[in-house]
Amino acid sequence: MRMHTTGASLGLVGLAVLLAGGSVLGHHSFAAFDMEKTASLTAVVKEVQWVNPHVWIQLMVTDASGKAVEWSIEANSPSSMSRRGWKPKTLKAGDRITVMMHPMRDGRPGGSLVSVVLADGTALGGSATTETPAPGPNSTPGSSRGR
Amino acid sequence: MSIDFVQRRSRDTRTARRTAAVLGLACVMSVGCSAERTQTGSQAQGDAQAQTNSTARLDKFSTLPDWNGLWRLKGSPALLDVEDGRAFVPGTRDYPPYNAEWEAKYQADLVRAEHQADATYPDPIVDTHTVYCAAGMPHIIGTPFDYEFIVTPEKTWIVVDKETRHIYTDGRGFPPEDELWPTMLGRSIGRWEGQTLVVETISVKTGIWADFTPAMLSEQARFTERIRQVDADTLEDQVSISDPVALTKPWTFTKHYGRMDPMAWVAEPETCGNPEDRNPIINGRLMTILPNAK
Repeated sequence: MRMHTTGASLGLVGLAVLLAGGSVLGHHSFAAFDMEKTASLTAVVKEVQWVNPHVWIQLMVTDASGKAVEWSIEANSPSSMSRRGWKPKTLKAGDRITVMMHPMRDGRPGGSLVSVVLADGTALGGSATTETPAPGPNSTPGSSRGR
Repeated sequence: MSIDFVQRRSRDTRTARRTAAVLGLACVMSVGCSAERTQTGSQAQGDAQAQTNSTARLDKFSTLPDWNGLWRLKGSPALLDVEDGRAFVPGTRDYPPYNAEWEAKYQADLVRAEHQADATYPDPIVDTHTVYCAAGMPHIIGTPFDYEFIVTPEKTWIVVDKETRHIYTDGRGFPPEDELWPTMLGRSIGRWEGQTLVVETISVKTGIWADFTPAMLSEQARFTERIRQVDADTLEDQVSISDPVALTKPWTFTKHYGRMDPMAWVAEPETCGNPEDRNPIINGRLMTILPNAK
């Protein structure tokens, strides 16, 4: 497992700042996260908490010293995740994934989800903080990348 | 009992049944017509009047735009007066035409809001969508949630997540002042100008963040919206907010909503404050609970 982050504040590997596209998508503030930094984590899924108000993905990440660290990634509400093509069992324990996220400002091992790439290369949005895709007449809960 | 009276009763019964059928259809189309149902179920008189009213009511439906179904905000809900605003990035703000006092307050609150999750900051301010688990007015105009419109002659409902705007278009005015108290969504009345729904809202609680920044208004704020369909799949809401306490002139902006599949399952509302909510407010700060984090 590898961890790549942007921003010197975490002092970790990799720099690939990706500015947040725009909107805050959820009921609460994301001020706990540094929305101007984006980090990538390669990790193994420990647990997915498919709950209101927001979904959380618990990950096990090996840090630079080889120590396993549990990360908490906050996503959007179950409804919004569903709008983006997620299902409650899209991720399961043991899955190896790559996560893009905005890290916490206080340096704790947490982040706000931007996107996930599954082991088979499938990419899924789910950001609580990226732009709202334009809706369309054919938008459905399964196909729309809504809130 | 004369024959003539029996025949008239029979005719009245048929009329009542026909009226009930028509009103039933209207109820299916409109929801919220329990009053008509009650009248139909209990009436022994007034069938002719009910028939007239019902037909007139159905005729009114045909004059209203069909906004049935789900809509979604176009652009970002981060800011009300910018379509592609970025939230929680320092420097991001709205531009209400505040007077000096309210502009100074907004600038100070923007700094406090940046620190709402900072355990060490002395005086943070937490966004009201989290505090109340509801958007309130005017934040409800620009949210990431589904917007469902239910349009009837007498009233329009706009359902947004777990909040519902009730807009009365039956010609009533606002309640008298001594019957008003400030609430998250205030009181709304509306009127149809052709195919445009003009909505007036007053009596909104002060302190509500207008969006994801602490842009607030006084309880003297009056919100005027002109909602219309600008193409087959787009609704437009032209908003003008006047506030003699906070603003030097009306704060105006326009939001657009795109049509979704009208029969899509509506999104389950977000709940907050439940045991699974890992973002509680503790000591006036928005916390983020990280289990097992060392």
